Parts: sequence; C-alpha cells; structure tokens
Amino acid sequence: MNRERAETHLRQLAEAELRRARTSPAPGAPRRRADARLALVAQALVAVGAVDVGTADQIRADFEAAIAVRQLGLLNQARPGQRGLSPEAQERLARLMRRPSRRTGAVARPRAPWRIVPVGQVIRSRDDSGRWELPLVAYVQSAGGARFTVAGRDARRLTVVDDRGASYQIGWLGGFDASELRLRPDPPHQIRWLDVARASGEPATRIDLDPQVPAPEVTVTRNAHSPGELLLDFIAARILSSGAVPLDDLEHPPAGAADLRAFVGDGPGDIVAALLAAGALPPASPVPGQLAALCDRLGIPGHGWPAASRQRMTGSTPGESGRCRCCGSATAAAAGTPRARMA
Amino acid sequence: MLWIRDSRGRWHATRTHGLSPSANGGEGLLWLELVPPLDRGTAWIDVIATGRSAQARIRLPLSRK
Repeated sequence: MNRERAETHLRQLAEAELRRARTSPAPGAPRRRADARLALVAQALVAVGAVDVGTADQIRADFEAAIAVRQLGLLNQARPGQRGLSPEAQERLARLMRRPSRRTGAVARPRAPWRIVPVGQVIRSRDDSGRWELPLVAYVQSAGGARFTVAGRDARRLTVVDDRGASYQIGWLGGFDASELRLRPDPPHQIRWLDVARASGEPATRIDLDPQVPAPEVTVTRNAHSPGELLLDFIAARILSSGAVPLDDLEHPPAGAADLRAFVGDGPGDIVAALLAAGALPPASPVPGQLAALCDRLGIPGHGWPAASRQRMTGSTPGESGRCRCCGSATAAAAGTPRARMA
Repeated sequence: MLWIRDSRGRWHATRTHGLSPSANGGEGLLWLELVPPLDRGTAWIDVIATGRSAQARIRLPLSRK
C-alpha cells in the first residue's frame, strides 16, 4: 500500500473538483455532487487504511474552505457591500471549525463462559387491545449479561422468575423487528429454568434452560486479501442486499431500480481508481470486473467501472465452495452465476 | 464483511439491522437480514467473515420449533 500516492490521489481529486466548481456557473447540485464524490473516495481510502481519518478530514476541509471562499466572492460580486455568508457557506465554515471527537477504544476483557439455549417459544396473552404474542428466540448468557433475543418488541411489562424464586427486572434494547430482553441482575449460570409472564398475573410460560448448545468451533484460514478487494466485496453485498434487486429472478432484473442506481452512481469507478492509485488493489485483481459484471447483470448502467476491469473478470472461476478460486470472493460467484449461487 | 452459505450451497448477502454491544466491549449481538432469505428446510449455515489476513468460518445448525 502506498499511503503517499493515496493522499496525492485524494488531493488531486479535490483540486479537479474545485476546478470544476470554479467553472460551474451556479452553486448547487454540481457542488454537492463534487463534495459527495470526494467524501466517497475519502471514505474508501480511510476504510482500507490508505489514508488516515485526520488527513482525509483535512483535505475535505481544505476543499470546503476553498468552496466557501469562492462562494463568498460570488456573493460579494452580486451584492457589493454585503459581507455576510450564505447559510450554506456558513455551514461549511462551521464544519471547518469542528474538530473530530476522539474515540476511546473499548478494552476487551477476558471472555467468560457462554450459555446459549435455543428457546423457540411464544409468550401469548390476551387483553383489551386483542391478542398479544412475543416470540422468544434464544437465551444467551455471557460476560455481557443474560438476555433473551426476541423477534419483535413489546413494552408491556413482563415478570421473570427463576427456579430458585429470584425475580429479575427487564430491560429492552433494539428495534421493532428484533430486540433484546435483558435480565437484571445477572442470573446464576446454574439455574434450570425461567418463568416468563405478563405482569398482570397471567399464567407463566416456562423456559427450559437445560438444552444448551455448545458454542460451535470457529475455523480460521490464513489467506491474504487486499484491503481494496475486501472493500469491493462489501460494496457487492450492499448492492445485493439493497432491496432493489429481484433476487428471485436475477436473470431478468428491471432496468436498474432507481434507488439502486442512486447507490451505485459513478461511485464504484471512482473508488476503484483511488484504490489502484493507493496500491490497495492489485492491478490484476479480477474483483472490479466481477462487480462490473454484477452491475451489468442487474441492469445498472453507468456505474463507472473501467472497461479494462470488466475484461479481467474472465479469469475468475467459481470454485466448488461457490467462492472464486483465484480471489476467494463471493462477488465472483454472484456475478458469474447469480441464479445458481444466489437464488 | 459477512457472507452466508447454506447447507444447499447457496450464498446469501447480509444486511445489518443493528448491533448491540455489551457493556464490557468484548462481544456484541448482531442482527442480520439474509438476502435472499433461507429456505425452511435449511439444515445449517456457514457464517463467513473475511479479513485481510484470514477468513473465519463457523457452522451453525438450524432448528425449527
């Protein structure tokens, strides 16, 4: 990886966008597009470790300062004697004054034994508002505490009592589709069951905690992936899971759903160019071509992939596992045989 | 980046719907949507996480009640 070239690439992109903004007759959409383009490429280079966050922020800040100064000049030309900044320019300058907050890294503590129990039971009740159901998916106890994972969320009060008569308070965490039901205080690992009931005094549902599942073994395979290929793999997953792709019929997609096109835009091409400049992506990598093929197959034109990258994809061969033999990328499998691999 | 391969050899992309970090910072619960969704008869899934120098894979048996 060449950090110096990565920084140079980002600065050159900012300068090119600034020149383009200077020739633009009016502020607005072209400028926002330039800002978004610079932000996208900066984010990609930071993600692969080619540019640090501080440097990327500084380059973007310089770019925004130059834009703001130019806007001030235009404003003064149009309204001589008025020295005020437009709200947009004020916002840009205000952003320059902000310093990124320093993040404090979390310190991992020694791992405590896990207790994982598949539950698969539904707490049912009926009240004035109708039938009420709360599916409990699993019980998990670790160093982070004990909780049920729940499909859904309902703030109605629950009572939880263990086989020793100890009761627990409930805390909810998560969204509406899935959430956690946390128990306080942390129950002892030795308890055999928990009774969960509505606080209204209805019969409790007993959750048997004996059928524990041993934690599966994790297999780790040492192999090298370039940070650029990992990032492109992530982008492929974003495209596939964007919700706009008809995964039941990848062979006949609509001509690029609007929201998917908006996500892709010219961005991938800009990202690939930056990754190549930074040395974060091997020049012979087939992954850009695979992603280009995926976009083409999904009916997303104008994704900005270099034509040369597309040609390189012909060297990729899905292995028996479905991942590409040459790069281990799931993107290759998806791009090459979407119906067979993804449907 | 997490990819899923099911017991029938089909690949699934993942969409993250939330991460619940624990108080001690050493673990977290990740809510993932699988795209496309799993078939009902799926016996197990491999969860595959790929990093720069290694790939971690864990096989999770599935059961239905």
